[in-house]
Amino acid sequence: MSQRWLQEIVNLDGVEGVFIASNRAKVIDKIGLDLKDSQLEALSLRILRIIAGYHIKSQKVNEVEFYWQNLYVIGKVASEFILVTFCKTPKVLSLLRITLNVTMANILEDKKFIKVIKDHVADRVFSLEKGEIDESEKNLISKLK
Amino acid sequence: MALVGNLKDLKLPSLIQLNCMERNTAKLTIEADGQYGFLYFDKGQVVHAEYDPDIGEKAVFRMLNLYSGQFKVESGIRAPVKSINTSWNNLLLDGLNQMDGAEDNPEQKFTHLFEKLFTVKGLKSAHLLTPDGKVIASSSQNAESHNYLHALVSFQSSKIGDILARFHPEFMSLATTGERLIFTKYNKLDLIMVLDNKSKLDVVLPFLKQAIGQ
Repeated sequence: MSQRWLQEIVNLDGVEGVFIASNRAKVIDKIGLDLKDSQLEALSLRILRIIAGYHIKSQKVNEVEFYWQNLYVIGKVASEFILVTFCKTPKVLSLLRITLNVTMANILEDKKFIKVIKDHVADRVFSLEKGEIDESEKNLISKLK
Repeated sequence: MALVGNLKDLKLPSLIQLNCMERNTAKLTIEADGQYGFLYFDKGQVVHAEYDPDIGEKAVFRMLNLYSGQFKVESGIRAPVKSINTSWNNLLLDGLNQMDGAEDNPEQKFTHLFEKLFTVKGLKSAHLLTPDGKVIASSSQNAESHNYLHALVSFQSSKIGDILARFHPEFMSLATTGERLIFTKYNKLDLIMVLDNKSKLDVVLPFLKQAIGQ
């Protein structure tokens, strides 16, 4: 389904892998990653909580990026899913961002994919209620409203 | 013709000195983060200042803490009232002394950090928060509109680090429709830098790292 688009991303030097998760933090498709689905879903949920926080403030998040030494996680945000890429080097980040924009456009035109993702539609703030939420997090979320 | 510019390029003490030494009668307007400040010169003396909610010397002292903001100097405009009787050089000395003495004040402690950050083109505001969202220092008057959201973002970043068996990310960048935000840790606090959305991350990040000392 979306494998051919994801393959174009992992073909870039330094890209370890990529996955797509729905607004319910469910992994829809992935390629080239050693992490378990449960880890990817936990990671997606955290990104979705950031997006939800901004949604409450009536702001839209387009992308999120996390940088560590030798690991760059780039998340692109569409209305019904997130596309998350793991990259080992900063050298390809510019090219990667361009490739991700093209991939997002291609995926959004893939009718089969859209049909699948529509089955996973969730409210933007769904992530703020799903999964483990500790007390300090709960406290911050309550103060957003 | 009015003199216009940004406090990033010409600091307020220099602007005051310039107008006083030239013995100008003028109105200086500063717009910083949606808030306006006014300073009036009369024949080379600072005679009146307003910076909501303060008037007089206190308003001048607060404006001296601004790191950035558009300014405009309009010649020939007289002050509506007189609220300052101190000579301009004593006023400036008092203000600068207060800034130096304020290093122990948590709100002022990070002045130098912010000064360095504001040398980076495209930076709109910067905030320092505790992990529970308390504002420790901010360049913006309305830092408290998004403090809990920023703290939540930082919290999620830490959790993502946990999932990947890593520490808190060195940097986290977030692009919204209107702006780009960069999050990092600074002395165990969350430092949030807000840039305009035209800023290229790859271009500004090395400068921000340098300003932070990383």
